[in-house]
Amino acid sequence: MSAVNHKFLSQLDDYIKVKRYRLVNAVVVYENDALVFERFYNKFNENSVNHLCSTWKSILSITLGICLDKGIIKDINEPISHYLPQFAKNIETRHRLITIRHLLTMSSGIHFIGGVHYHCPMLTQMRRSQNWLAHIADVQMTAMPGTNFVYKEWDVILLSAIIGKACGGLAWDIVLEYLYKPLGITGEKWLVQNSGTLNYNTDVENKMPEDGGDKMTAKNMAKIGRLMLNGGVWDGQRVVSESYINDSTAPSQADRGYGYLWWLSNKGYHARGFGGQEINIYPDKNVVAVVQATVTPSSKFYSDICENVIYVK
Amino acid sequence: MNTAIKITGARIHNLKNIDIEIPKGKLTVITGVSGSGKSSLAFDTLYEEGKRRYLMFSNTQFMVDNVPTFESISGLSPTVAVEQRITRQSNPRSTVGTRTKISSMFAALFATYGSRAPEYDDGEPLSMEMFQKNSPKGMCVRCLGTGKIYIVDEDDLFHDKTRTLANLFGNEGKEGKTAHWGVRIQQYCKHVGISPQQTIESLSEDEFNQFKYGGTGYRHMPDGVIYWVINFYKWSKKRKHGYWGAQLTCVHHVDCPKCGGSGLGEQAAHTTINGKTITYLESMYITDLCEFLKEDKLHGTKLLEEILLKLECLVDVGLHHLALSRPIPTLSGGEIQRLFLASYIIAEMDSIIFIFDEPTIGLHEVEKQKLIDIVQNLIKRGNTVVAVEHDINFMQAADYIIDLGPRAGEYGGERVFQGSFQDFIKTENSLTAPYLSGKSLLPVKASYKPINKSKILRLENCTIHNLQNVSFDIPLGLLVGVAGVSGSGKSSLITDTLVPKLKEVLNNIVIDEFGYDSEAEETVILPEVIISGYEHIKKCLIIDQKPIGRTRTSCPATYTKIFDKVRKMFADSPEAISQGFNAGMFSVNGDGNCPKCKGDGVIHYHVGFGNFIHVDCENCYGTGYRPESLTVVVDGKNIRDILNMSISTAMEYFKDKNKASYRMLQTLDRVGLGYMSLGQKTPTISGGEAQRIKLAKELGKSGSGKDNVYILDEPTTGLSFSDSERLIQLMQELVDNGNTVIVTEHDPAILANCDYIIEMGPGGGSDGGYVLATGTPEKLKKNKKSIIGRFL
Repeated sequence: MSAVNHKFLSQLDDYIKVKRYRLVNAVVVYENDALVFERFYNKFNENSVNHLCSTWKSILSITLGICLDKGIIKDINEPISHYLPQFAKNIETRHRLITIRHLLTMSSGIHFIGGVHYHCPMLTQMRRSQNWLAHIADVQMTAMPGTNFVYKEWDVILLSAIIGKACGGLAWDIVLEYLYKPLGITGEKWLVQNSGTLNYNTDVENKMPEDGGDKMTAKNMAKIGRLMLNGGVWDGQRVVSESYINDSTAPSQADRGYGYLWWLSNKGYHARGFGGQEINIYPDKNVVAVVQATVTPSSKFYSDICENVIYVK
Repeated sequence: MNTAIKITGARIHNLKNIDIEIPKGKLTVITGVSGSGKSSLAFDTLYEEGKRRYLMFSNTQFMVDNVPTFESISGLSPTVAVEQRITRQSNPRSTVGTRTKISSMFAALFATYGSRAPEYDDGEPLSMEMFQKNSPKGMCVRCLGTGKIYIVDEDDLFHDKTRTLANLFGNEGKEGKTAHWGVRIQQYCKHVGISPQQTIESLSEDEFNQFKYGGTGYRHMPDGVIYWVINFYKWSKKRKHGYWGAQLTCVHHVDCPKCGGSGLGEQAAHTTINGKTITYLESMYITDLCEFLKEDKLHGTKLLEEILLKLECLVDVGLHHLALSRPIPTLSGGEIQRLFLASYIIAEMDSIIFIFDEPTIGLHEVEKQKLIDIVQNLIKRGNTVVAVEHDINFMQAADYIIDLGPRAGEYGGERVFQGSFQDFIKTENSLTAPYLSGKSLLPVKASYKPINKSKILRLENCTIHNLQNVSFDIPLGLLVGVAGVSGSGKSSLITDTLVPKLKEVLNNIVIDEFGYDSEAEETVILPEVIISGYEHIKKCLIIDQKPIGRTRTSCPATYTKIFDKVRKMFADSPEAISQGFNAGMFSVNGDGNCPKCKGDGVIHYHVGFGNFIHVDCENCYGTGYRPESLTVVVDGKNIRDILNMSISTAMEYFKDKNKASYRMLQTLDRVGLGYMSLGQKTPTISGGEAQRIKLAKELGKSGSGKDNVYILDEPTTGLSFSDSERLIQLMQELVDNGNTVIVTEHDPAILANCDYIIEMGPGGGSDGGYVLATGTPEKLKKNKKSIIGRFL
């Protein structure tokens, strides 16, 4: 018997109408690695691309796993000061205690103000500084690394820079070669920022450039989820190690609801992005469900859609 | 339209069912001794009702009154009040600039017209937030907008590398004060597998780095001794003075290295108007800032005109000596009040009832006239002004005088007089009128205590703020007055130079009752200032106007420690013993608090839009106590009855019960606070009252001794003539016992009673900072340079 609530899916149009989810563009559901449902709104079709927003962070997590597998980065517990000289200057004595794992678990301890609807006022200032990494290194540390979970952009920016530094290029080089190509994902090139030194896709105040590099089709997003569900194997080919997938979806020390750039719940794990972008993975049911929506200045969530997709008697 | 506001049957607090008439469109002064019911009439009756009616009429709020406090009031229009006691509590980050919104206007000015350094010009427009340090878009990320950070001087902390870890802070980490460290380091060493007896130089580089910067996983020092030291220092600073952590010399609170103390980000630091940054402009004295902006080529733009208009208003109300960056909590009550006054003038409203609380506080004689002109302008425009005031010039300028009294507390609350000034001075039974008519005069000293040349406190090279490299002598054992117009450098000289310097040299024997924020109370080190003669001083006591106690439930009884004895007395009563009640049952902060309102006595209901209504707690009937606590009675009074007693009534009650409490109450009565109730809560105590409670606490201690220095800042605030007279006696008493009293003051009556005066001037801000004249009041009268001399 299917774990998916087909009755609900058959009434999805009404549900979306009643809930006035006018900005939802795509809902795609895979069960046992097979497409069981797809529905598009607002003139979207299966080839339409939508912004990834912060679901990008979870893809970056897989990219880091690939780097560890390939030995590009030796140890997840390596201090970030090994890669980023700005963090080896003793501006804050705690800098030397920040490790790559802390970045993955959003617990670097660097102060961050998310602002209303996660508009990130501190990013505005960073974007206008001459060197982003030096700017972040100047930001006050307000917690001991590893102890305090604060969802923030600093940690992913630093992580992206570290991957670039480690591979002698940009994080995009790794993700294109070792993730997108094997999975057959045709995504646009990630945005290159900070005078060409790092990839960072979520733009300031979530105002996306129209031709931004973080766009993907709903089915390609689902591929990321299916790869995770399949333990890192795609088409018989190992893309990322199973142990990394297990580690990255286990509760972190700083917050039991967050892994390595993946949100955790009692049903499964999730990539979530501003404006209602979701890749939901339910390992118990072997289901992947994706939602895409148009971004508005006030962030919206549609997590109830996918929760209803999972069959509850 | 009514020509007068008519109040009938006012009976709040000690008011005795009185009828009052206040003419509209006129200046009315309400006077009377402290505690006579002035504030009860002006604020608790007139203002509260005016506010209530306005808010009800505009549908923004509803209120419920439990007990009517008057019969009727007619002729009200919208009422605005500036109470000193309320405005004293404000956000530590708010400044003159943010309060007046001039800072926001400056931010807009810089964002629009600022010229940018080419290397920081990224072609995108600037935004206002970039010039506001409270905005995450504009604040310096290093110090998060505070302008300061804590650093540890590692060379100082590890200056002796042959020390053992246990002995890092001396005393082997065992004895007394550093025992806390001894335990910490023991646990740490056990965790990492080294010995506390190892010297610092014997540690390997890795071990030393771990010790300094952490990463060992040891729970109580996860980020190393450097962070531990900073946190311990901050923690100690907030606690009792003299805690060893507060004296660590290796911790420094320094200007942020990224923003240089401005608290702003890079864009703000590299955008200028006429070559100056926003930080520079905000640090200028308002007079100088006005001049600077008038020369600017932007002159004529609407925005700059608005800024200039506001700044000139601030100058007019006598705030020329402030800078926009000046934090509000460091302003005196009078300055805050005038700050509000300025914003009302700018608003150009008419038909408003303004209620002021001693607007002349902190003003020099020459500045008072300016203020009176401003107030009369408000009246010309069609407003009504009601002021609670003691100042003679202000009363002379008033159209109408209301005198309440005749005395304080239960002996007051009656209308002694209402009418014109000319009629007032003829009134027989007023305590104030005789001073105005010249029938009674404040005493003026005829003989001055001679200077003891061997006992002189000398300070040299004082340069802080606007002080122009000043050197001066304070003859010890005398009543010393410090005079000068606002901003002439009185406070810079005493509060910002003498006090920190004494703190430095006398170490723990400077007693300064801390206010709320220790951040503003940073220890300042002034290496350039040379002090000599301090060996003659035993103790220095600073008696300021900051609120007593830290919590809202603090009151005169708790602050003077009388309450400890009262609680014990109740706990020792047979009734309490039989019921098993301990002293905690008689405290609203302890077991005795009402479980519903948590001891507040009041429940706050949120009624939307950030408004609350406050209703007496029905569980404890507003007492804050558990009903059980109130069943215990000593001599017919329960604990709540005791707190409701006025200090003079309580004196009788305690006379034969507790000697120490009686003596303390006697002193409180002597400083003119007999009318105050033992349980009056901190937020309703004015700055002047708080100061006198502090003074009484010191005077009431047995064996206060001699050779102490008392520093008082404008102690006549809120005092009527007869109260001032008492204060002069008290200060004289201290001096006669062999102490030194240093008093910064504007009141010529007090200054005339000093043995020695130091006058600062000649002007405020950059025009001041010099010592104009020194000597006895007699000498100053003859000194042509002296400004205050002719008023003495």
